[in-house]
Amino acid sequence: MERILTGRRFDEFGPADLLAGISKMTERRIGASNGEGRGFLRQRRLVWLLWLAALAALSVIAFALSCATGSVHIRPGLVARIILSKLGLDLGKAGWDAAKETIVMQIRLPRVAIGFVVGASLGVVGTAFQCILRNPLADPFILGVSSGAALGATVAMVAGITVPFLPGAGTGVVAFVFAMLATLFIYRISMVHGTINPHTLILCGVILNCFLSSVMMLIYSAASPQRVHSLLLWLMGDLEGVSDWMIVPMLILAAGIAALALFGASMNTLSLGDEAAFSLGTDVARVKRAIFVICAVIVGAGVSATGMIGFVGLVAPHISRTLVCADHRFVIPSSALIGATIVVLADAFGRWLIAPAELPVGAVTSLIGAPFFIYLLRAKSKIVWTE
Amino acid sequence: MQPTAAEESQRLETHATPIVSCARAAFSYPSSGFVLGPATFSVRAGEVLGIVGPNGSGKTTLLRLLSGFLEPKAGQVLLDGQPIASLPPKTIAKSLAFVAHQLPSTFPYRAIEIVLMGRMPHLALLRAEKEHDEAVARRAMAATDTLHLAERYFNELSGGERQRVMIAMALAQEPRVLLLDEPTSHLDISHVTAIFDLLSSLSHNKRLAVAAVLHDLNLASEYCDRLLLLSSGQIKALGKPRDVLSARNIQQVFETTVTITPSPITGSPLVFVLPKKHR
Repeated sequence: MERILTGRRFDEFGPADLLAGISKMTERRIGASNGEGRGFLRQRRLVWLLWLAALAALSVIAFALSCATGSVHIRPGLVARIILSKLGLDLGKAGWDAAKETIVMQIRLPRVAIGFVVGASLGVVGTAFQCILRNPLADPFILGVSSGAALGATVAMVAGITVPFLPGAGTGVVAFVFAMLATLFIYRISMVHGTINPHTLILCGVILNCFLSSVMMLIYSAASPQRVHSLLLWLMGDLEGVSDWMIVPMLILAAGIAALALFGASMNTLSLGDEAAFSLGTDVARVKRAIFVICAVIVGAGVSATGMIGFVGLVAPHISRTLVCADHRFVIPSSALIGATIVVLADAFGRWLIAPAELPVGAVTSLIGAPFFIYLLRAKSKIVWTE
Repeated sequence: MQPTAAEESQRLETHATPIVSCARAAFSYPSSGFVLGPATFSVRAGEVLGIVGPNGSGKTTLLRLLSGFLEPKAGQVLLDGQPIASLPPKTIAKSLAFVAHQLPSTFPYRAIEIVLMGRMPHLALLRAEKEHDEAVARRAMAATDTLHLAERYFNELSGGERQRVMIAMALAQEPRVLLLDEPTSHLDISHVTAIFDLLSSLSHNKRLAVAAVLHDLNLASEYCDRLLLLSSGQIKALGKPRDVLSARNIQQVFETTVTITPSPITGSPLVFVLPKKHR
């Protein structure tokens, strides 16, 4: 009776201990089951490693190049030797100008280092936000946390607030406190039935951004022109005012990046939606909350330190996905390296173009980053997201 | 006197083979008057349970309760006798897979990357998939006729292909319970048959417990061992297809006049709609 309607038959096996039912022929067709050929995972591991190595090399080159750029030209090779000698790795040919060493170690290295870490954190937070908001347009500044920090910095600068025991850190500390207040606010508003609703979260963030921006505009309209000018420069991303205490935000950012890297696999499941993520064993509400809080701390610390460096957080994840793959276990480290490279290069470019004056790094990132990204999208004709 | 939830769950526990059971589980959405349950039934190892009913009768909500994604407002859902709400999601995911009706919109993943995500519940934190995981994923893809799509972008596949990839992902979880919400709504007739042949073979040969929400009553009749008929949140009938799919039940629940004839080959009841001019 079975013979009456013979449609196509698929292999009559499936999950679990069904291995027993598989014929030799099918086994060969499926491949990879006993380690031979066609291994997607093996190929993937190789591709990831090669790309990450290449991106890491690129970021190191960008780092050295940026340290070399400035009013006094110091060859990148010498920069590398100076830094390596400080790390106890002497390459023998010592005997460089002490002034050059001071410039590299005291002025350029701290600046490039904070740019590097901030760039990396922007890339990672952009990745995380695009994932938990399930929106390819999300960037680190979409949720109003950054506006909180900006308002805090504005208030601190205009009112001249200083924090006891932390000379020079007043603006940063106040900005961070404001950022955390904004986070708390948005977190409370967008929780629906114990879980974060992406659409509510984005809408609240955008509206909070508008509100805080207009408060800043009010302050601007009352402040003196010089103040407004320096505030605007800071808002566009500022690596100029690097001071000793910058090590604090750098440590916070590095810890935050490391923490987010633990969520790569969960982010993969979350990018399929809450229901699928739960079905794959992700504790959706808790994981989203954790990611949101870590991101908010990173954004707060980053913006407090260097202002708002735009564009990087938006495109670094897209570049990673377009070039290689969408797996967050790859996209997180890759976006960190791409973000770091973009910021460090943009900073060098901004110092070189109209030297000895400087362009704000946040303006340069979009200026050179946007055309490259458009080219990449066209060249690869990749779909970034499909409904 | 109505039995309490605890008594009910004890009774279900002592029963031979249920894997997931609802013990007077009830659910309501806060903003609407809709109430589901209290419902008491179980999905047993080695059976295909079809959940049928009109639009808005609570089929999807019931499936979400069974999966643990929604927590019942009253009563309990039990997985292997334990309240599913008390289990960590990862533990649930090791034995229960859930294929939602809506196809995800997402970043440009390849089909095999999506199927490999089915291995997530079995991986420790920061552990990558191993060759074995890929073998399981490829087997699941072969079983759903998606192996040839492995390296294609999920986004670029047709609705039916994506649906089969999602089923492959659930199979790659190696679950003991498989819940599916209209798993074949995008599929052509050959793939519908193939998927249900697969599901019924897995349940009968490998003791997989399957519960599927279905709109196609004839498909439900042919492939399900038992049917659960929902009517505005309440279980109207639960039993063998030939008992559940009566013209009277369908008239009452769907408010549609139909004729029912046994299949000439399988004997399963087949439902025929009656156009107005013939009524």
